[in-house]
Amino acid sequence: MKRRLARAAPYALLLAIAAGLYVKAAHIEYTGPEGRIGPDFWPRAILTLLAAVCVYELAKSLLVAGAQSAGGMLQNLMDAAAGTDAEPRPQPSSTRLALGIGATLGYVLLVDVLGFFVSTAAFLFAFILVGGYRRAGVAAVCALAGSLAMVVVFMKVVYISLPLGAGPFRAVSIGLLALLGVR
Amino acid sequence: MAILSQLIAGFGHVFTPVNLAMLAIGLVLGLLVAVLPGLTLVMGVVLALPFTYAMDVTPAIILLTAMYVTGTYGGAFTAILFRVPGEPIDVPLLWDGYSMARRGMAAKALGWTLLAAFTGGLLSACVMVAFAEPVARVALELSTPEYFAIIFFGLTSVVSLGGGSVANALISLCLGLLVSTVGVDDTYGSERFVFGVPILADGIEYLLVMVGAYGIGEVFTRLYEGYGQASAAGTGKLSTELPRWREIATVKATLARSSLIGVLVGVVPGAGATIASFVSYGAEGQYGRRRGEMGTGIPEGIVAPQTAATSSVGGAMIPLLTMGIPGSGATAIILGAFLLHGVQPGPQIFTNPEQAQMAYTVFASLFLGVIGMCLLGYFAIKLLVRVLDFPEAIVSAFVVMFCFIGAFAARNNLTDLYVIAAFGVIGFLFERARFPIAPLVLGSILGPLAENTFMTTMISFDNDWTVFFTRPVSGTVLALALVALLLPVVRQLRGRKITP
Repeated sequence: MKRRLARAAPYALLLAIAAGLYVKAAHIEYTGPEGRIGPDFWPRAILTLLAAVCVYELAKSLLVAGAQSAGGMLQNLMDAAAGTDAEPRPQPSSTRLALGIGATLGYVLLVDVLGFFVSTAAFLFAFILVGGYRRAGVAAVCALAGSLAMVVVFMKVVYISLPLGAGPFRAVSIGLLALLGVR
Repeated sequence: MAILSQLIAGFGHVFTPVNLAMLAIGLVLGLLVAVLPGLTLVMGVVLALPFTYAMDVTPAIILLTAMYVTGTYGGAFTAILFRVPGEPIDVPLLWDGYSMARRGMAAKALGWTLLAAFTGGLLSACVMVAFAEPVARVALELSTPEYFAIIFFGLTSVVSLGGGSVANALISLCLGLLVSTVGVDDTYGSERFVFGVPILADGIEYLLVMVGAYGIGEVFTRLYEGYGQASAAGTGKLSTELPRWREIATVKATLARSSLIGVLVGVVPGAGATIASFVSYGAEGQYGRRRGEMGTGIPEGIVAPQTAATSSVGGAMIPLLTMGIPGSGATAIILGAFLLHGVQPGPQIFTNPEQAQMAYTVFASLFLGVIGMCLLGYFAIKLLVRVLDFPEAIVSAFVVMFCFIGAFAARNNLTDLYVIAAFGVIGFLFERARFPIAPLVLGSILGPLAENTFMTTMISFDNDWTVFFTRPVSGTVLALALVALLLPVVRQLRGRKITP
């Protein structure tokens, strides 16, 4: 039963989301000619299809032991391909993943404050180490050189206006850009 | 004749310093991306996108197209020599390519790959040149019901041609279509699913979905699974031995069949090089002269997937250029590059002299790209495989950064970073829960087009939905879409299998 519930869980969640969005879609406000389909029609049609598939999969997961869905046309070839990876890999690690996601979200939150150069160097260093690379010195050089190279390429060559940061970090970014000759 | 003279003029335009430089850079980057573990050709094209912002449209498209075509070939080296498929496209090469290499014939296996990529690439480029303008003329005659039917066919084919559960693919597609409805709708200007969040009012760009789910999602998946280190098996010397004419004659039917499959699969919106590669291998396994020996290390098992993968490029460029409908993930990025440079691909592209010249320059660059790709593959093999020694942890960190820069630079909007980070997590969760990512991305790309053509049809034909079925072209295409959707179910009921 536990396995069935686990299999059904994603479909139950998606069904709940579909139901919630359907209610939301029913309240989309618009003004248009009488009798013409409105902007709610298309999303509601998609949500109905989504809910129908979820209900089907949910029922199958809960009622049929070892239920299997119809596979795509290439199912068997893909199944055969599944065991082809020859790279020796370490064990999956949720901690590594959590740290990686944390570093990514941290970057997104802080780039506006720290500026592109500082935040990118910090992110690259952290992510390389989280990825299991153990030579901290090499990682630091890669992070600093990589961040600097990106500043040069994107701000001086491609003319993308990257975030400069705030407060003292803004001063660091502006000083660096002055050194690089970027106006 | 007019097409030929335009193509010749196109060759002339490719031989300008900027275009030639972009072609060369695209070829080298495409090969590197395909060889590097954790990077796919779609990700490579995504990562190159921000570098094109400061370029003119022609060199930008030449760069991305060159990366696209070489991306279908580069992964063959690692698949054959190290049993590490650089791309999902290259998985079928493991069955016969690696088997051949293990028998000490790695150089020969690489020679067959080169022949296949060369033949498939050139044939599909010819098809693209021959058919693009006529298809554009036909497309000019099509109306919104036909466009909707073609898009619908693309959406159903990505569901039915995948390798996982059809139900999960359908759910993934629905979610992609829903994502595309967020923001202000085109017809009425009303807000949908904005929830008072300003970021959502502008809608969610498909590039963000794509970069997040494909790029960052893949990095998270590999981070969770742990980075591996490839090691060369005893596969013989690192060189390429081209097959003899006598040997080539034995696979000419495979070359022809696979090229055709590649082009046709490429033309179908949503079905890219990976599907072409698998379909062609499956077809060879069912109809080939040596079908009983597939998987044992025979040339046909190498030629079929590689030819189809490379020839899908020319096929995928046809709907992109003539109808503005991307046929694959990579062409979706190329479409994004066109739009960023203010060019809307579509039937009118050949009626505008300036844009027609650009199109033929891109066509010509594909011919030169295929030749250059094979020359690079032949002479730079030792350097290419050394890229595998590069630590994946460092590559992944830079991939995330390029994804961020690409997403940020498209609209100069920092809040887009939140969106791609969110889609990165969604991409990872999809991978874990065995929901395919391709339908999600395709839904977000084709969703606005599908809705727009559907709504315009309904408005133009007074809400008469039967118009989709009563017009000959749209009716036929919708019937094909229905067949595509039902085929997996019928196959399951009949218990038929395609096996390697």
